[in-house]
Amino acid sequence: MHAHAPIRMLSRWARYASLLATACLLPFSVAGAQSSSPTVLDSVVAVVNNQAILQSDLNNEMRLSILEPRFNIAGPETPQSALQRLISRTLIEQQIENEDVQATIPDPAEIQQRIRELRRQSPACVQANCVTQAGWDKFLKDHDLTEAEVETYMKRRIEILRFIERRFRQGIQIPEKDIETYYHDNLVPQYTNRQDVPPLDQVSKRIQEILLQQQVSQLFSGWLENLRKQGEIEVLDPRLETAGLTPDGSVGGP
Amino acid sequence: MRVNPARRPCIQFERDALPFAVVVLFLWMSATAAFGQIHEKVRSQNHLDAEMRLAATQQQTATPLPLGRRRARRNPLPPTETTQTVPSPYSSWEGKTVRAISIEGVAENWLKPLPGDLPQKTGAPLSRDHVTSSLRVLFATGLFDTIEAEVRADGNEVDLIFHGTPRTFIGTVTVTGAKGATLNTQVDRAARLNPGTRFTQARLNNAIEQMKQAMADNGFHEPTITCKQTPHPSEQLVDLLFTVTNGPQARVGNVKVTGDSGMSVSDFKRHAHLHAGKKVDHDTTSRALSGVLKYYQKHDRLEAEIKQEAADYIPATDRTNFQFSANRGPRVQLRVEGAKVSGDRLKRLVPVYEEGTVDDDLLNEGNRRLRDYFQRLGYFDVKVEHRRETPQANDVVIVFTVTLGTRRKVGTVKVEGNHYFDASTLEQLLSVHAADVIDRHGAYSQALVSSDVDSLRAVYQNNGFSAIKIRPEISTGDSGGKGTAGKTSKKSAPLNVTYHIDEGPQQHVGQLTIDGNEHIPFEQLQQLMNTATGQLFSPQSLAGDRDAILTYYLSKGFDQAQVTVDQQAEKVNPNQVDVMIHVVEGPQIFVRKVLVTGLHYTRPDTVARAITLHPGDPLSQSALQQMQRNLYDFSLFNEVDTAVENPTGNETNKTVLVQMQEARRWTLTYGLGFEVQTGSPQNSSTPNGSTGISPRVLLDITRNNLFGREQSASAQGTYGLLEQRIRLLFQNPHFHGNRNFGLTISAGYANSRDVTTYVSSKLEGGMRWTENFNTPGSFLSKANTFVYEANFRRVKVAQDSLQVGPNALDILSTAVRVAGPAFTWIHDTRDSALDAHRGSYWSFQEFFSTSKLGAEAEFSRLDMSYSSFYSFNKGRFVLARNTRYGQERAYGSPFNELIPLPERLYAGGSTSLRGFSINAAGPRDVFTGFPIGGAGALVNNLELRLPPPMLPFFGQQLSFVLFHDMGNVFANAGDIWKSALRFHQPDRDACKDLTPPDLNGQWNSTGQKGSCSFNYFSHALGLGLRYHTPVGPIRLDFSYNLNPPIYPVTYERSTPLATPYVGSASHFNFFFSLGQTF
Repeated sequence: MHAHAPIRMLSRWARYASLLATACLLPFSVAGAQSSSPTVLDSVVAVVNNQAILQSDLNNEMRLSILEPRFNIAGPETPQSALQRLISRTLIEQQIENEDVQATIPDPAEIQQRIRELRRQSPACVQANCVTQAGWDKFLKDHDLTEAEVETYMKRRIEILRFIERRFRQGIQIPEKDIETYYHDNLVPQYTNRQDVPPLDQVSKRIQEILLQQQVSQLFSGWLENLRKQGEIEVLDPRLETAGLTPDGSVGGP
Repeated sequence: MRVNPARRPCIQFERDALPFAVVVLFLWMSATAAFGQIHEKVRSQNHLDAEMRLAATQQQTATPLPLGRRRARRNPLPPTETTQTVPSPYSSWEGKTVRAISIEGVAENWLKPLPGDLPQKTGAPLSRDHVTSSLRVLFATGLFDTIEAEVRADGNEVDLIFHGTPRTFIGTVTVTGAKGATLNTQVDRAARLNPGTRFTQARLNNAIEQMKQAMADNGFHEPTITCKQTPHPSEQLVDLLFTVTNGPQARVGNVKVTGDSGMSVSDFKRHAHLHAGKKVDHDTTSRALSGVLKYYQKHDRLEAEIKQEAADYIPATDRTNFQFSANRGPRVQLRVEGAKVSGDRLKRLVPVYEEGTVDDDLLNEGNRRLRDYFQRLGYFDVKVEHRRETPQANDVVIVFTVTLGTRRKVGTVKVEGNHYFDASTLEQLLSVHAADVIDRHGAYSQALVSSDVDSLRAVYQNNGFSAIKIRPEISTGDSGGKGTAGKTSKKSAPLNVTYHIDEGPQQHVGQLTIDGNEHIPFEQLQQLMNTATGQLFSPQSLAGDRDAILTYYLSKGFDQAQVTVDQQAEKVNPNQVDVMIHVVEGPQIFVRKVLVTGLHYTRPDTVARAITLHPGDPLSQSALQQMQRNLYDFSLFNEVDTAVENPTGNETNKTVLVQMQEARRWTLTYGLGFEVQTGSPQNSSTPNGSTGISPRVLLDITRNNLFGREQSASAQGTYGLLEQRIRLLFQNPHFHGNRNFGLTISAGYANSRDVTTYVSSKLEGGMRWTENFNTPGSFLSKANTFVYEANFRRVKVAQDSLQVGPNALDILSTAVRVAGPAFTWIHDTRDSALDAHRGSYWSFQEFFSTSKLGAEAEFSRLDMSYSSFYSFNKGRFVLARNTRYGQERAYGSPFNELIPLPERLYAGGSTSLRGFSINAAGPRDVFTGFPIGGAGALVNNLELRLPPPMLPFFGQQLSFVLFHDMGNVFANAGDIWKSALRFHQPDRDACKDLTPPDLNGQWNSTGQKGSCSFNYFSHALGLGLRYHTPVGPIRLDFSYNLNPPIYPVTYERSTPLATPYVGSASHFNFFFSLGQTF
């Protein structure tokens, strides 16, 4: 057993204990709420260019984070990281409104298509066997989600992605030379057997797409960073303030 | 193809690319700002599907992983956790009936019409969506720093409480203590603490840092800045008072220069004005850079580069050490090939010297200016190019190659095919024009032709001809040949330019609709519009209508209003265009309160009338600006700022902050002036005066804001050779705050010699009541002013100065009291009072001196003038004319009939009849020949003000005027019209009669009658120069009187006259003065 195992066990017990305590206290707190002392329902936890983000928004974001493609990949989901993601999204949505971009609203079929992909590919969904209806229903129930919430989430996501595509992808040109360079410098060295290397013609479109994504990523990253710098962002709850978090909420650092 | 799974590349090329959106979805939703690392990630985690499959296959299957296996092993993905669902606080409360809603933290009246308009209603079940929406609505008012929703149970009902912390906004910001002319203002601006905006401690800290930086820029690196906060909780405002202590001012320390500066450090310091020990101020760096750059420019180093690398302050010595990098660059010269252009002209045409740098934009501008220059000379096909040559290191030559082409003139310019407009109307729009006397070649270029086509098209389109077609045709006559490139052809054919117009059908407005106007009815909006059903369809008018509607909405407090216009030709009748105007009104903002600050000496009731915004009024920028203008009109304030509290908040009622900074109450004004002219009266013993300079000193001490009101008291003094005057004034420009009425009370003493005949003194007092018509809807326009006066004065002529016959000495030098009312009407529509180009100026004045008010001389005086100004040739030429008519009539007892000398009508001088020296026109004393004024005057001035030519040294600052003045002063007003067509002085022989007049001769109201008549119109031609300055032109006029009068001189007071002689007014006069003649 690892040297730190007792500590880990202790930590686990402590977590169970706290959960138990929460579970025990919850009825009392609700009962207490029924008395004359006021109960806080909701509050403003952050402000993005005079637009409020509520505690309930943050709770929703935490619930929906299970649908994120990289859920738990970049690190455990925390309220701080969820808030940072919310702030970024709010900034982008404000830009969409300011630039008066007539973002195409996805049709229901497209939303359903994306949800099917999510059920098939999302790590959390794969684990829960969401491909089957029963698995999907259980997944939603386990995470306190509804079909409608997932559809709204997906619709919003597609709209934003279309905006990003429209805003950044147009006008980017990938020279042939860059494709060749990528092919020779990045792809070919990964094959030990030279004969297995696919010809450039066969993969050039795919490389072009990758390089395109890289440029879009760079442009988008800089743009979002500028929005954050120029915008007025205020986190009102000190417990939600973060250090070392990237704007998307993932843990930064080298 | 078989691939070793372990060596398979990270990219799955076998798969079709996912839709781009999915890829970006992955990129954004999972790692939005970590895109800098994306390149690496693309290699290993190229696509969402790959990463997802990785996560899935780790636990589900052992099938070979073609992608990302190695990475998966390095960084095993944590097992997907089931998110712990935290019970929503709403779950226990949703559905319960809301008994009451209260809002805490901000005064209830500030939130109106909330809380009634909140999505969560009293009596309705509590809903999570409604509560969150309500929270957002309340926060969006901008009145809360934080806010939360609380519930309190009461049986099956709940009370909903929105509890917030009120937000604080900046009230007044005052900076004081900093020593330096504008330092307090600079520091204030650096703080960027705009009144009305949100106040936070972070902003304050940042502002203090910025203020310190501003002080450092001025050489004060160790200032102390303290801030006193005075909160006004009821208004959610805080006033900020910053007190600044300068500390020591840095002085210039060491100066270090890097790069190829081409000069020693000491020379650099000299040119940069960086002398050791000199105080560092705000301009030190810019002065240093411009000084050195100027040196380089003077030596043709137009590509020199200089910048400040560092300015390090050393606290121990209070010195700032500067470091500059300077590279002088090559010597730049300009040369022209293919045509002759003088060096000076080339420097003026190519703006590299003007700008002190060389770049492609400036050189291209040089091309364009050279092309324009040669086109003005008739080389319409000229081409100009430039190239850069480097004959040797450190030398650059910019060569302009000019290909002149054929020299032509524009023969004819005409329009054809026009029916709706006549040709002369259209030809006025054209920039291309035929050769004429002034422009020997005319004007033509492709650019001008294109511009003409655009102008013609615009005028047709704005009159409903949307399908207008215009085809320019350029032809040359048969005679003449073509020139050779680079050489001038003397026999080139003239160009004939014809614009062929195909007007097409004329469209009219069909149906006009406005939608979205919920608060302002259609009829009201329609009144703002020029576009109407059945009218010509004009895009220009429509754009104007759109702006008018938008402006109207903004003025009514709809600050987010949007107005768009659609137009569509009717299918049945395409010549009818339906116009649809779409209005999105947005919220209407009203004034909650107007907070006025900054009144220390001024009474609040003084400014009350200027505060035109009141609680409940719609809030608009135009109303704020109007209020600001009203307050500036008082001339009591140096600065008037208006701001809106909480400008970004969504509250519909807002507090307006009006902050004023009072001007100094004491002002001292002084000045110097002079006139130079022929016939100046001072020190002259001859009837025509002598050429001389007349200097004067002016001094004015004024106490403004007298008794806290918009009124002032002044003491004014003038001391000059022509006049010495002292005057006390009380002025109230807006009587009791009324912008239409002003009151002036004056008293003073003046001693003047503006006529060669005498020195007069006046002790006077008067009251002047001015009426303007500033109120909209007045029966007269703003151009009109009425002045009602009551004048009392005692006029006296110094007997020892009086140059008249011995029999008139006593009577004309007796002090006389003049008293009576006067009425003046002024109608002024000039575009500029100093240098008018269009409009007119009309003044009418009637004055009665009556014994009923104690006058000893009874007479009435009518003096009126009318000037008008016409500009033509696109405003380049101005034709200006002025006519003055005056008449006086004595009445009452015979004793009072003689009009005192200073009260008579005079003409002559720089602003009157320029054929005479100052006040020298008209009747003269029958003995001495000195001018004695008259009882009638008519003067007509006609001026052609020419456009300024380009001249060496003067540029376009100097222009010329051709003028003709005519008229005279007459002993009786009745003589004026009889003399109008009389060019020569009548009966000149009688004027040559040197027999001394009878001392008991006949008298009229202006003195003893003589045999020499002055009843004719004198004419003068002249040339004037005008040097234009920001305060009006400096004027030099030369005139030649075509028919000056002669007069007999049989007596002189100063020395016994040996021989009587016939005097004559001078043919030639000149005048040097300020301002236009009229």
